[in-house]
Amino acid sequence: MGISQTPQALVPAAFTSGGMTELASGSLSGASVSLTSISTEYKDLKLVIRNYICATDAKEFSLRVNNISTSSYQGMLNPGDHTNAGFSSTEVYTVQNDNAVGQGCIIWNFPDYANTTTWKLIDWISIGNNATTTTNANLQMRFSAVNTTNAITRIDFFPYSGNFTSGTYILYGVK
Amino acid sequence: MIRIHDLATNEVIDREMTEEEFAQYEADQAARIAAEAAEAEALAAEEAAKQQAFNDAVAQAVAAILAAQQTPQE
Repeated sequence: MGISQTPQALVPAAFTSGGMTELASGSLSGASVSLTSISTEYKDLKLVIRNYICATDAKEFSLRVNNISTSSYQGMLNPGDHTNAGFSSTEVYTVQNDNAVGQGCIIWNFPDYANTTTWKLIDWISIGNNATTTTNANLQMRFSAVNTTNAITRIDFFPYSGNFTSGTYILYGVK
Repeated sequence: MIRIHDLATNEVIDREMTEEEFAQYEADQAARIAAEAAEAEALAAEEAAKQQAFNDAVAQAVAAILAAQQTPQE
């Protein structure tokens, strides 16, 4: 007797929890890239930057949210306890990168970005090509916070100096 | 030139900065140059302090050796 079995779907049609949805993707260009009108329907945001190169050598990759350019960010903090820390920075940024070789990537996380009652947290890990010895890597794992209780609906990223010459971005919404 | 990606429409626009944006851009650049200069100055001061501490330690050691050599033997 033959056995008949109805195939089961391995992946649900729409994730209700734990899934990632690509919200935007593109290439890095000019003095800055702004992602605007970000949906607040997700739990977290994840921004992936790949193969980024800035025209000016040995410069950092900077980021702001909600177009806030005042002293509203924590300094770039190493993992650990940081008590009584003020919001003294006007942006957050990664380690320096080479301006010719772009094998680096940065993974930015924006947990609980859509709530409207708490300060916002940002964490990231990055790897870039050392500007002096490009076969060596500059590595970083940091976190920061932003002195705003508004939902994050805009992210701007830009070289610490000069323009982007190459690289890509992908923004995911995480359920 | 700046790039703006509007996620509501998925439209990507490359355009020149407005006057306000350019003023902010120039202010940012000036602040970063000043921050880098301050950081370099602090680093140089730290290095100078280390060198001075080393020089002082060497001078003290030399003085101690000379004092020991000048002590009359019994």
